[in-house]
Amino acid sequence: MFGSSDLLILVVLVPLITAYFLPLCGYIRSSLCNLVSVFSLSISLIISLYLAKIVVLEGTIQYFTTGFQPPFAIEIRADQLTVLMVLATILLSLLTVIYSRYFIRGRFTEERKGLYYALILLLAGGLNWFIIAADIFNMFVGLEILSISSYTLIGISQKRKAIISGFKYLLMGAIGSSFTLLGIGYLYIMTGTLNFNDLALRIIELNLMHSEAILASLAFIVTGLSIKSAIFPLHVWMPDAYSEALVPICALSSGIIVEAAVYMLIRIIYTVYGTKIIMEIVPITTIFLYISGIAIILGSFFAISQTNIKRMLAYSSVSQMGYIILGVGISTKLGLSAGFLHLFNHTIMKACLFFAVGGVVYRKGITEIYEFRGIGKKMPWTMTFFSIAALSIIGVPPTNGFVSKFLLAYASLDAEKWFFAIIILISSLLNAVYFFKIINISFFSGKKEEEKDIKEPPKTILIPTGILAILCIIIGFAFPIPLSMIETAIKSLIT
Amino acid sequence: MPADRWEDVIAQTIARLLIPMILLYGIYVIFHGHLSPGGGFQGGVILASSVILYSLVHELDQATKFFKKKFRVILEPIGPIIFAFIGLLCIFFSGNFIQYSKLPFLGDKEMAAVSITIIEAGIGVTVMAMVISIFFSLGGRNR
Repeated sequence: MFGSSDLLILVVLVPLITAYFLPLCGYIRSSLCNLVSVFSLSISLIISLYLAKIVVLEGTIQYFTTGFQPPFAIEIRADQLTVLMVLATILLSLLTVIYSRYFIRGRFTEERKGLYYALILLLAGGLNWFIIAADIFNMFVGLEILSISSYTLIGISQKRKAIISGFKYLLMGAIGSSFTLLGIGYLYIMTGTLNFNDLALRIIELNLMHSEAILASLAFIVTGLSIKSAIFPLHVWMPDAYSEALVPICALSSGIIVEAAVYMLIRIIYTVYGTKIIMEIVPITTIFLYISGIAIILGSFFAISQTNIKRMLAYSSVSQMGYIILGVGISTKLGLSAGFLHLFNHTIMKACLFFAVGGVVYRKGITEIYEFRGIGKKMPWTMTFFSIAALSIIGVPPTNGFVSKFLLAYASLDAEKWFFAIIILISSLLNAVYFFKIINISFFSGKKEEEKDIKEPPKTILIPTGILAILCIIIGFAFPIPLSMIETAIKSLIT
Repeated sequence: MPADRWEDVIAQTIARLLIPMILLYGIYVIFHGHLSPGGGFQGGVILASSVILYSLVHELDQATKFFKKKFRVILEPIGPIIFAFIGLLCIFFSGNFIQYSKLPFLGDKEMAAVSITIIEAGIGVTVMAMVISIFFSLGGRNR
């Protein structure tokens, strides 16, 4: 019967199997799709919460499909960091599905609704598979499942521009995937294995530290996954894709897909290649350090110059990915855990921002910033949630953004890289410039009398936004819980 | 014969002879997949190619009569669902995911062969429906 470690595979299978049934539900009754997907993701949420409890109490879970021992079987593994990622994925997908109930009404045909929810569940299942894989090829399979469903979701509204931007995203994403696959190929040729731990062992055993093929594989995998995670010079697909996509998809993509890619990038460079290769032979961490500095500042400047709010949030994501990469660049335990904490905080903050913007889009259909004049008086709750998340991104206490930014600044001072503490400070001011602009024109300008019919969005849109906004504040106080989980996982990551 | 309708007796007769053989060969490739090169993917494409041949020599409308969209939507998810079901069955009999040897009905190796064949058949059906769907969609008659 089901043991506790079997739950790890169920967290992938429950969304995936439901995804295959959903197009059928769409034929029977399209309103059924939403309920079925909410039900399935709630079950996954319960499973992943239980999994988190087991992992915290009993340590890392390993699971081998087909029952052989690795490296022959496919290994999946969950440590405390992985469990947090799975929880974030499932929570965000569940909120997105609830959010979409009214949001997608009238945007496409009834049959297509089944496809929409099926793709979201496929995305959730693919993400979970990507996150828990301890085998480099299965990681790639998960990456492809999640990428293909996200390309389709960007273009699902069937408007001309949306299809074009989805296609652009597909081209960039396909380049990223092929680079990753090429890197995996080099690794497999040189070592003859695909399991993460086995790869690390073989690279040392066969004395491949200085081999060109291994270094080429490192370059390919880092480039490929950097494209997927929109790290600074490779972020160009992101604003174009978001400006035409539906808002819930932007929230999912910016909230969890790019984060999952960067999480896997960090996991691979630390577990497979090890600190000696990435710090001494090829100074990848130093490169990431300088890239992060440029990304944080330039991302903020680009965001200030945007007039479309979705593009602004996309550039803000570029800047926030810089913070996460800064954690890798500092490459101490403290820096890396601060980076990961910022990763989870960014998931919550950015999804909340997109959800709040989506509320405005649902009622008024506007995305230009100047049109937000006076919105705060008509939709006080939506804009309050927006402001909480915006303050969190700026880094105002007592929100979660403050904690992770403070930890990152502290870590960079601790590693004697004081220059980056100044960059964090400057970037916070720049963030304040573009977010206070929106808060200002939405609350303090415009007249209350005009357009009286504009009111708050329906509760299925308001409540997920509210949950995320409240989480922003709760994690601002309860940050030791995720931080201690991250630190436990990182102790085994950096040896 | 109207001008917009294209019919060729030779092509239709040869297709009528060929289609059963193509189907038979496709099924052979699917069910021999775990012993020789081939399997669900290749066999599924061969099965689909028979339908494509039929729609080339007849009208596309006549082919869509056999494979209506509703029918294809039912066929498409069958493979993954069968795969997941057998995988979960292994967990149910206290094995790991897709650990066929734990299934109780036959011996270890026979059970593995049987379950792989069932999975391959499911994949074959899925791939067939998928390829036909792609062909019909690109044919511009997505009804």
